[in-house]
Amino acid sequence: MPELSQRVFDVVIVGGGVAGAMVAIKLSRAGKSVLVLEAGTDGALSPNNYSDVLSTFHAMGSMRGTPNGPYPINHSALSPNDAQKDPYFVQIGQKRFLSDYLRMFGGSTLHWQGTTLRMLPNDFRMQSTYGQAVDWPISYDELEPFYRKTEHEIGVSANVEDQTSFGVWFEKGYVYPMEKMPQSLSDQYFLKKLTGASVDLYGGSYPLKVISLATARNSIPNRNFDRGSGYTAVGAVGYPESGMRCQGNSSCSPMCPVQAKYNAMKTLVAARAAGDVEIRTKCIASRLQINAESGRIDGIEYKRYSNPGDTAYVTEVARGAVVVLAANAIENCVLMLASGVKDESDQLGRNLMDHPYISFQGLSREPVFPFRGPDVTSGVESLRDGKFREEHAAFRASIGNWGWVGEPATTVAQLLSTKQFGAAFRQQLRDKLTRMVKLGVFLEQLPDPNNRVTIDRQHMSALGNFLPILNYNYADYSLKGGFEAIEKVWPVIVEKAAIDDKTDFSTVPPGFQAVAYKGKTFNVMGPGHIVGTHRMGHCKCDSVVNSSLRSWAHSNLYVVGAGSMVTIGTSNPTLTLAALSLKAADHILQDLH
Amino acid sequence: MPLSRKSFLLICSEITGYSGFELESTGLVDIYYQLLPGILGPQFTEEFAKSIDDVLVTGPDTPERQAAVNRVLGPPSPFWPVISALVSLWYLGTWNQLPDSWYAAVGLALPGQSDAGRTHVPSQLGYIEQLSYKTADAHPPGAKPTGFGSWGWKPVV
Repeated sequence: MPELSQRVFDVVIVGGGVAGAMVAIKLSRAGKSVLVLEAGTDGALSPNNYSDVLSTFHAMGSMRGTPNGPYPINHSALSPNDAQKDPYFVQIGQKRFLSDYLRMFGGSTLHWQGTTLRMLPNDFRMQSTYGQAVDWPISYDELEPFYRKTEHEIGVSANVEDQTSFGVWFEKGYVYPMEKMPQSLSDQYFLKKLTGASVDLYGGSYPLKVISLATARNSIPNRNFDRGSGYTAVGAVGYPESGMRCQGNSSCSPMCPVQAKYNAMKTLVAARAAGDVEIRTKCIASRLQINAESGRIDGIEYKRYSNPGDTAYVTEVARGAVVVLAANAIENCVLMLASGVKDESDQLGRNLMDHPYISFQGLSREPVFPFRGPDVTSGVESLRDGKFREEHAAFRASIGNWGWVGEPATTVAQLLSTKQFGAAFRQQLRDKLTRMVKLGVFLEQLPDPNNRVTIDRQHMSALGNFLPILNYNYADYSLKGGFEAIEKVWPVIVEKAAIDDKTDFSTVPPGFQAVAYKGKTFNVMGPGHIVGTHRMGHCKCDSVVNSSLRSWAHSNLYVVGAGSMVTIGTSNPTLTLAALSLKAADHILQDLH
Repeated sequence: MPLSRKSFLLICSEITGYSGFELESTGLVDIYYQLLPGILGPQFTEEFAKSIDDVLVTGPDTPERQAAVNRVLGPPSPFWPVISALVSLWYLGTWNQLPDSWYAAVGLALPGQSDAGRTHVPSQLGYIEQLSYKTADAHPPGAKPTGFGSWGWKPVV
């Protein structure tokens, strides 16, 4: 018999990542009592533990692997990671779902790159504008105030001038908390060379513009922020003098050694300091207790284990007036499916989306000295929208500052294999490494009901929780966008920027998989953007939650995170999911009054 | 006769293209010097030491030196796999296990999971001081940050 919790919190949040953190801080400041249940450990929280993760990162050397690489593996609550023996996901689709996430206190924002772009107005109305996908029940205009609040909460560095395109508007006089990150030599190289460049795609000629990115990374505070109140950067958890400004450690993913990059631990710890917040780690939510008459969630059963790797656990029940699922787009669905959450729309678990990511590489004409600074400080952002979306995916393209995938180890091995060593080796290595340029293209995917998360009693974890079963594939809409990027866009960039093109799709790098469109084979990977599986909508007939992110079927259940997004657009989803979480928090507060 | 530290340093300088002074500044010379005999075994280490001395009798920075390095240590000499692995070790901080054919040729058993000869990162310092990023006027990810904004201007070496 599971032990009943004595205390009924105002809100119980499942998931200690950025979505849960946004809800927690809002409610904590409003004087509400909050319980956060996190499946993983808090193994990155204390400065000593964080330092251990850094040591592991160093010790892995060039065999770094995935973004989850240096974080301790926890067999009680596994994170998806192709590199390990237990891959966690059960993959049954035509293609593998390649993205991962981190089940630890702080979540995937521990290992993320930190790009925080707003979605475009047309991303919210793809059906009305392009006859594709589905319209959101809310518009950019309605989400805009929450974007601002999120940019403050997370601490985003950007210039408004660079972020206003395709109808993205800002409140008059708005400035970001911190100035844009300085642009890299690679950025400056492309900025100069691509001036005036354009590419012909369906619908016309589109300019190629290099723009600095908005990122969640500490930069120079903007003294005009918040009508002159200014902004103070938030440093490392438990060590606040560290990380108040990016130093150029060049390891954002998998980890920022000084926490100049935002991670959700910062917000969760602040939430706890601001009010009545209890955080319980090593607690895996396993079932929502649904009241048969009212449909309300009476409690959350969770399995509490003592040490990572334990298979023994005790089952306890947490109770809250409101329950918030914030465990990410895949875990939220596993929990809801396991609990028998009512879903008239038949969309629960469906419409799983990601950004298929293509990597282009080459050598610049003059040295650009990569391997320094954040991986991405600018991108070619001018193809995120346009008439071509009637026909194929839009995309954005990050300029990569860390050289090519798998370098410098690959060139070292290659030079040695051709018997080079000594001074000649050193010179050739230098010549090549200093000119490595990289472009990473993020293709949008449209919601496809066949791309989905399901569960089955045949696939259970060591602790008796359901494993996510993923059925995933890429539709022509996305593949055609990739094809256009390869056949039309990259060649223009190569020509204008005098790039010695070294993109070679004949070998599939680790973490990628081969796809084909019209006879052209290329490789894609998953950059960790997991979206769409419990989408919001106008009607319980075609959505899982309403525009307040509340479940249509269960009146005290909110489901936040990127799973509630209707389309993915081309922006990295974190800023949008965090803005939606703050919006949900407002509605939760109304419910509690 | 055993391999001397001095000879080890001089030959590392030849094969990496970095001066002995620069290699000393990494703090890795002793770590790597002490690592090698455990991997190569006493007999091969002695042969290796003798060959290195054959190279080092030639004058430094002379064409004779370069020719001797290539002839004695370059392919197809039996020392080439070791030289190649040493270059990799200095440049990347990772020791790559020598080919099975090398182990067969010298009559040594393949290394076990915790033996010095397995592919591994012998020292965290080796990751931090690896020569590859330094060669590109950069730094290894997660260590020796070059300062806010530095990625926006040419490296000041």
